[in-house]
Amino acid sequence: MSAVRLSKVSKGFVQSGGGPLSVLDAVSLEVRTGEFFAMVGPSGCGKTTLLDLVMGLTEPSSGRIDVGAQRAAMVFQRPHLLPWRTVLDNALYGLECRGELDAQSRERAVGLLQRMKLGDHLQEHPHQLSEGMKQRVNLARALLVDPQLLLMDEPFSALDPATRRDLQDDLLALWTERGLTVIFVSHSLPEVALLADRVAVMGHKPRGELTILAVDAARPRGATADSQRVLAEWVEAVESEHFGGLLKRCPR
Amino acid sequence: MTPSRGRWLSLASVALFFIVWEAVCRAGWINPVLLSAPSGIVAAGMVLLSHSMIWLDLAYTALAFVMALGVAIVGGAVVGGVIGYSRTAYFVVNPFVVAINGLPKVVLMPLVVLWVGIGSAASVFLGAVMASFPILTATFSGIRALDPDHVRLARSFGAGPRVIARTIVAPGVAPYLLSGIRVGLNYAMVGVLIAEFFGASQGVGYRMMLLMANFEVASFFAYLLIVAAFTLATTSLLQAVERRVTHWRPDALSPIGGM
Repeated sequence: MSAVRLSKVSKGFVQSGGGPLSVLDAVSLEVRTGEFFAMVGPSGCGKTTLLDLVMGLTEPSSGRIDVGAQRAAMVFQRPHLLPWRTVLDNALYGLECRGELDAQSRERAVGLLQRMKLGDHLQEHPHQLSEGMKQRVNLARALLVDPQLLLMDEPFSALDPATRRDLQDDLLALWTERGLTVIFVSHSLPEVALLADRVAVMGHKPRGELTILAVDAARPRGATADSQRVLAEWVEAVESEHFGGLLKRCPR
Repeated sequence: MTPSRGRWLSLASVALFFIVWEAVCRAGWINPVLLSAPSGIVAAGMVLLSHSMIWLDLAYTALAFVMALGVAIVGGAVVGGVIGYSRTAYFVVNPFVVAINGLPKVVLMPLVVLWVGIGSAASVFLGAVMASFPILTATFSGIRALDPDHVRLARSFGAGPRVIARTIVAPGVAPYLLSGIRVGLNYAMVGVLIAEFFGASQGVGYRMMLLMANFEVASFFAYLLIVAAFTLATTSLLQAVERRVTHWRPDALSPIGGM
C-alpha cells in the first residue's frame, strides 16, 4: 500500500534575477505505508521542496501528489521553538495550531517528554536547552499531533555525533512502536544507511523516476562490528556508484 | 557588586546630592531667586498639595497625557504594523515617516495652535505626534524581527492567520511595542507640557510658566518634582509589565534610566 505517491511532479520558482528555476522535473515516487523512506542528495537538490510539496506548504507547478487523508507532521532541520514558550507549551504547539488541544493533551505531552528525557525541563525556556534537547522538543511537538506520516528535513544534522546517535535510536524506537511512515531527508549516506528501509538518490536536478535503493541490512543496525561493516560497505558502494564523490564535495 | 549593595550606593548618592544642595543654599552661595533649597521646595510643595489648584492642574494634564498616549499607541502600532508587514506600504509611507521623524516636533506648535487653537486639544495633538514615532518604529522593528520559520512551522501544523497572529505575531511584537511605549510615555509628557507652556488656561505646564513669571521658584521646583515623580511612576509601571511579558528572555535586565 502506498502512503505517498508523486506522479510527474514539477516545481519551479521565479528567481529574483528574473529567469525561472526548475527544482524538480516530472519526478515520480512512491512511499509505502509504514516504511522508513529516506531521500539523500547534495544541498540544493530539491529535497526540502519535495517535503514542502508533500506537506502541502507549497503547490506543484504541475503533476499530482497523493497523500490521502493521512495526518502528517513535519520536523524541521532547526527546532524553531517559540522562545517565549516553555518546553511543555512548545511541545503542545502543534496541537494548538490544529485546534486539537483537549483535557488529555497536557498529560500526553508530559508523558512523551518524560520518555524523551525532558521530564526535568518541562518549565524551562528554549534558551536554557542544549541543541539536542531542543531537537527532542521539536520531535515531540510533531509526534504529539499523532501523525501517520512524519516528514523530517535533516533533523539531526546540527547535532554532535553522540546526541545524533541518541536521537536516531529514539526515532527508530518511536517509528517501530507507532507504525509511522517516515520520509527522512538527509545529506549523509551513513545516516540513511542506519535508518532507512529504502533510499531515493537525488542528483543535482532530480527528474523523472528517481533511483531507489534498498538498504539490505538487518535491524537493529550498527550495534555490532559486523553490522557496522555491512553499513559501511553499502555507503561506499552507493557513494562511488551514484554520487562519484558528489556528497563528499558538498559544502556541509 | 551585589544588587542590594548597588541599591544602597544609589540611595547614598541621591542623599548626598540633596545634602550638598541644601548646604549650598543655606550657606548663601546661591541667589534664592535662582535656586530654592530642598527644604523650601518641600515646604512650598506641602502648601500646594493642600490646595485644590494643583490637583486640578494635575488632572487636566494627566487627562491630556493619557489621551495623547492612547492616540499615539493606536496610531503608532497600526502604521508601524502595516509598514512592517507590507513592503508596498513601507515604500509609500516611509518618506513621510523619515521627514516628520527628522523634524523637531516642537516647531509644529505654532501650526497646532493655528489648527486646533490653544487648550487641551493642542496638548493632545502635540503629545500624540511626539509619542507616536518611537511606538511606530518599535512596532515596525518588532514585525521585521519575526521569524518567518515560525510562521512556516505554524502553517505546517495547519494554523490559519488568526492562530499565527495570536501565537507568533502578538508575543513576538509585544516586547518591542512595550519598549516603544516606554519611550513614548516621556515624549507624550514633553509634548503635552510644551503645548501648555505655549498657551493654556490651566494644567501643569501653564502653572509652571505662571509661577516662573512671578518668581515663585520654590513652587516651580515643587511642580517639577511632581512631574518627575509622575513620569517615573508611569515608566516603572510599564517596566513591570515589560518584565512580565519578557521574563523568558535570557538578558532580562532593567534598562538604564529605569528602576
